[in-house]
Amino acid sequence: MYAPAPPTPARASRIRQRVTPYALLLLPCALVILALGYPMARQLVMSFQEFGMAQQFGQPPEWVGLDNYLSILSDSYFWVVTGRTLIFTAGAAGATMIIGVGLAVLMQRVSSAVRVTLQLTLIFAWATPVIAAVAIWRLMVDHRHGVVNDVLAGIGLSGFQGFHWLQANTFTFLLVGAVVVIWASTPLVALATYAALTQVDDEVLEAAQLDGADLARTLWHVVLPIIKPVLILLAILQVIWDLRVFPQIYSLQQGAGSTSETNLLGTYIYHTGVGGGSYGMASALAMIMLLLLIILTWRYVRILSRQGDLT
Amino acid sequence: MRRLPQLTITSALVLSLSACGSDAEDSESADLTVWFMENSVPGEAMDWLVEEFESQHDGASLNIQVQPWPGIVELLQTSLPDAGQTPDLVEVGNTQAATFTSVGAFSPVDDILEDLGGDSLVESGLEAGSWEGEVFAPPLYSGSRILFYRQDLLEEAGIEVPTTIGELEEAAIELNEANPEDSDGFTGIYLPAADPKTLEGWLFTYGGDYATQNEDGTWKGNLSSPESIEALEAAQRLMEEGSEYVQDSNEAVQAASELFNAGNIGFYSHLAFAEHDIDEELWEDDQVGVMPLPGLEEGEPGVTFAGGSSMAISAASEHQEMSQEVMRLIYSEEFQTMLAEEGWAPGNLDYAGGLEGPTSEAHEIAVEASQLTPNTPDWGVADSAMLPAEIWTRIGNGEDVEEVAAEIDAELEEILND
Repeated sequence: MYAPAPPTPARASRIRQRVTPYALLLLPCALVILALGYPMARQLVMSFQEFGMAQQFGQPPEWVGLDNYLSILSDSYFWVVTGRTLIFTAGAAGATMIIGVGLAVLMQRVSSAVRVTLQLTLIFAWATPVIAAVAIWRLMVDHRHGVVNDVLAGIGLSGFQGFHWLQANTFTFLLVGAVVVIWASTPLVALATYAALTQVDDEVLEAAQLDGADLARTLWHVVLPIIKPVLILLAILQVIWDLRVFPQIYSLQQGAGSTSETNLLGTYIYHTGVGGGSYGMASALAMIMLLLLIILTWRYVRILSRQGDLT
Repeated sequence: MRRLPQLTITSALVLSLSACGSDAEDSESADLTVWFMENSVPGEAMDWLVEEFESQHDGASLNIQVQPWPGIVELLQTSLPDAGQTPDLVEVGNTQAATFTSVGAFSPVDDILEDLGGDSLVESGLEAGSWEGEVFAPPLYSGSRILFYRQDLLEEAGIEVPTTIGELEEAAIELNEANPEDSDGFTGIYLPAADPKTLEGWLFTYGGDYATQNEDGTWKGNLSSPESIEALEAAQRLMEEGSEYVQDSNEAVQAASELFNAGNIGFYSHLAFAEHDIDEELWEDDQVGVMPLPGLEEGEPGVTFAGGSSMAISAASEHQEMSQEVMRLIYSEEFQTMLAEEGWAPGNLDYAGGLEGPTSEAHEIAVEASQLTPNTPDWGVADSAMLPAEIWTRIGNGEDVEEVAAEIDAELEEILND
């Protein structure tokens, strides 16, 4: 009497629904494993080896256990560079976020002609290739013909006549580096935040206004919670980008007096590995830097992944 | 999972392609790549090399690329080991050769050394390009810095042509102040910190050095020795009082002949080939004089850096025999003579007759009295950490000489004894 029921169309579609996400994940995962997995695995292996110039040209490497890590952690210069990198990252990422969000709020409140001009300008800054941007900034802070010194001397700060920003000391060097980085990354923050702001419902704002909230309170208590997921994502990206900053600092170092006084972690790894031929040591350094990055961003990445908690 | 078969196909393709690559060794259709350095081999010689090679080898082609000096050690480290990336032949600086010969990056050329000039090759250059008794990188050319100076400006200011390094310092400082033609941005001597090869002339002439080797083979930083300190102090005074462009960038140094032509430089140190960059008019009106860096005593030449280049075949090159053919052409009379005409002392001394023109005499004296930087594979590392430039930059910025010397000594010892 009871024939077994054939699979209903609904059930087939449920299976498809369950499989499709994994199928979609497969391609990006495979690509990431291909492009990053192998180098990462190599890097991990090499960080436990004495791997120098001779190994680069075919000699078998020697296993040294944790030696590379121990000598890095006991080297005071490593801590100097790490401290410098953390301060640089906090300063650059923080300034980028503040300026970017400020510009986004501004864009909401100006006429559309001004806004479009501003957006176009930002896109140009965003689209400028890194090396070209560094070259432009190097010309601008040039000690002899640079516009920065001209302007500063022009407003009476004659001490800046012939001032060499890249050679004077670590702080002025990193200041120039930070300006280049901030200049190039602010547009993304500004445009993305502006896009998020346009999603804030007008009715909510009107309600806040009716309740008597001023601009600062509206922004803080009403708008901020709504755009928070976007801001956290942008902040994580900034921290990642600024912590591993390389081309800007490397190019600026060509005009600096000293590499050791101007190194951040990215350039330190490069000079140790590719410059100094100590690939094992550089791999260990890179692993430590990766760990640092995970520690710094872990909490926020988790918040972001539990989207429910954000809104 | 469905992607996997495709992946396998791709890797199989890659494997078979690379297999093809090794089959192609020394076939007639070889494409060879040579890297020369900037400001080195004249364009005319490169053209000759390509034409000559391609006419001798039907179907083969020679591609020449010119690389900049800054960052070259890094570039070579990453390109040379990989058969797919490596140039077949490379020019390397003589102080960088040991970094690569010591790890087997180059193929030995002992078998063809006779064809390349044998005993006629500069001996010190051969030594710099050898490792454990085998020759890998024979000398291509050598060259040392000489001084071009505006004799008319010296005359106007009533300053004698200096005959010792001390007199040179005084003359440059006096000229810097006199600025006889009242030109904007005039400098007595052009002495930028970004040009360590010139400033090493002061270090070596006063009897100093970057580092010296102990009996047990380890290295000791030598910048704090009394001779080096004297040299660094003399250079610091000269940079402060006799020179205006101390902080110039590497790019600006490359273009400094423009300043000289514009009448903004009294004494200008450069390699002999800079004679071609100096305005014809200045030569014709006899305004330019040439001399080697003077020594501590009158009549004795100063000691400058023994600059030079070597040629080598990459060990990873798939065209070893064809590369040897290119080597034979590079060490031929025609090519070496063209190098000499450019102002270099050619690697094969038999062809030094091509050295002529206003700089030849001074250049010959300078080359004879020149000295190498510490000859160890790790010097390339110190060089790529820009330590030489750092010393002169910090001294040029007015930092305490003894402090800088002690700090750099410590850094050098760490790198050279690695």
